[in-house]
Amino acid sequence: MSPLEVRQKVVEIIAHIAPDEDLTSLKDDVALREQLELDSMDFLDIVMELRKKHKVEVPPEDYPKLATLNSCVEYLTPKFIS
Amino acid sequence: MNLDFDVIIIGAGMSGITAGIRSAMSGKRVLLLEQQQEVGGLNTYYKRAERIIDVGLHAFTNYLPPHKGKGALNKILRQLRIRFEDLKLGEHPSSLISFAEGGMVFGNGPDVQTFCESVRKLFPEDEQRFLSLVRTIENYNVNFIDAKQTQNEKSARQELQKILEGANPLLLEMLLFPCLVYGSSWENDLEFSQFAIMFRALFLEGFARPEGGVKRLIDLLKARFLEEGGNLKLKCKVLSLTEGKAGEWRVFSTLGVFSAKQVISCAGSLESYKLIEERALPLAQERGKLTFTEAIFVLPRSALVLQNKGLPKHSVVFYNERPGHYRYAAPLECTAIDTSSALICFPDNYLDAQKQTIPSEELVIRVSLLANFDYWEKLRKVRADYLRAKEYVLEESIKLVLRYLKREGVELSYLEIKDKIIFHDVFTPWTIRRYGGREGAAVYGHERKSRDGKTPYSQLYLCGSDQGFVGVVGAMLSGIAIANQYVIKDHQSETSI
Ligand SMILES: Cc1cc2nc3c(=O)[nH]c(=O)nc-3n(C[C@H](O)[C@H](O)[C@H](O)COP(=O)(O)OP(=O)(O)OC[C@H]3O[C@@H](n4cnc5c(N)ncnc54)[C@H](O)[C@@H]3O)c2cc1C
Repeated sequence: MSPLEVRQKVVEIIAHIAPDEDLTSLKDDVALREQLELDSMDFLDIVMELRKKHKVEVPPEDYPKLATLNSCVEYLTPKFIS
Repeated sequence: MNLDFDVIIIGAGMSGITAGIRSAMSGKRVLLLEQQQEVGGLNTYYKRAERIIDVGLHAFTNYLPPHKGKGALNKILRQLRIRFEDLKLGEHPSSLISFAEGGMVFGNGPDVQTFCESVRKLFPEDEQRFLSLVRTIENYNVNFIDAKQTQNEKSARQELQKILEGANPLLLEMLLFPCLVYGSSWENDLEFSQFAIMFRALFLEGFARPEGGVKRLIDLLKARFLEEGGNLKLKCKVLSLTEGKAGEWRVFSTLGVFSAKQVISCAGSLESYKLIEERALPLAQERGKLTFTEAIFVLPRSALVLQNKGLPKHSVVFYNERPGHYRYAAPLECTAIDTSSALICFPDNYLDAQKQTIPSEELVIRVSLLANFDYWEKLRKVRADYLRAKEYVLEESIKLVLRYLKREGVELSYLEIKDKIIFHDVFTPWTIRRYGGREGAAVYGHERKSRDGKTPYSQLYLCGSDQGFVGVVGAMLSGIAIANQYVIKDHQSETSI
């Protein structure tokens, strides 16, 4: 899966978790928390959906790697491939 | 090893069912066992003629209208994937803390304008102190699942005395009343972080009621649980729990034996430990002493529209007659109920309540009074005494409402109202004990909480009142937080090793 596709998957998950947020103007290098009203419970849901939908596991010590869209893509792309 | 389920949940109270939804959402095989014929626990309802009567619910707390930001309720619904609109919530227009010395009116947050005006009127010197309390609570971070919270217990009374230093002591009493009666398992005080949670839930966010009452929430929660593939067994009482050789739990119930790796219980701490060891007393936490009677009566609206005053307009009235202070404690020995204070609720006064639970020409009043469990336990042994006591509760409840209305300038006679009652019902602590199974009918659970949900047993967790979050919204949050922590997160740390 290409980095662009991984980005798309992450955005889809966020849209599913937070249906009332506007995701069209998300900046890739700014923390998601700063742009959206996401709290730690929502981040747990991103992790949960990654496992359920894409069989991708994110251990708790790696949660900080999901901070921005860029870091998500960097961290998740190799996981999507393997 | 072949286990029947990953997680078994004891009790489908509000916390049990949300723990079930979250666990099932994460892909676990979940079994939810409930002894009653419907989910909801202390919050339930029944039908009588064309009326739907809510049993527990006066109001949801933690409500903010979507255009004013996100209250805790919005976040909880998001976690459960329930659309906020689907609850069809109506806000309260206003509620009232009514003492003999005066009243304070408050509306929903996030601003506390109405409340502040009331404070200014009654305590002109203390407005700044009140606002500094509001700021303290706004900035107070509550760590949800935090074991340290239990070790760091602070008395809200003492903390408030510091924050409000120099203020009229009556202000403190008036602020404590709603927070105590909506959420404390301690007598006359509560833990400071619990106070912060309640203050936010009631005053910075606020009250709302779903169209059609609690049934709407119950239906939505049940549907979500089943949609996520959860298994529900109603009329299934858990009789005992044993730990198997491989550390699995075996749950013996009236509908068979089931095994699972984890058990989450919302039945209470002591109540759950007793399922494991009959003599769980060394582990027993102080039995909660706070319980209530609840009288519900339906009147024709015309009965209360009098003297050009219109109908009572508040949704919830925290009514107190003791001079200078509010007593939040079990009534003294040999006293069934405390008739000097009451929580009076007018559920039809919520805005946008298009679909009423009763015919439109009627009105419901609910009155909760502090009650003495031990006394009711004795009473119920002689049927005639018990029935007489219920009648007494109804009478006293009506009289309290009339005394409240008198404060509002409306005088009605007892007989006038009593004769017009179309329907009434009285719940006693014994009803609550029998229905929910809680020791001492302690509505907010035992005095000591397990804030991280852990128990002396491995893979057995508590959610709901004895974890420490109470009320409908608190319980829902508790179930979510416990499932997030121990079913979803811990599972991930395991698989990552
Ligand atoms: C009269 C009254 C009015 C209230 N009004 C409000 C209000 O207006 N607003 C508000 O926010 N809160 C209100 N509350 C408080 C609120 O109802 C509770 O705080 C909340 O419902 C607690 O939920 P819970 O999940 O902790 O447990 P519970 O609701 O106590 O659920 C426990 C469940 O476990 C089941 N169970 C127990 N033992 C077993 C067993 N051995 N096997 C199987 N099942 C078992 C019980 O049947 C029950 O369904 C009110 C409570 C009462 C009593």
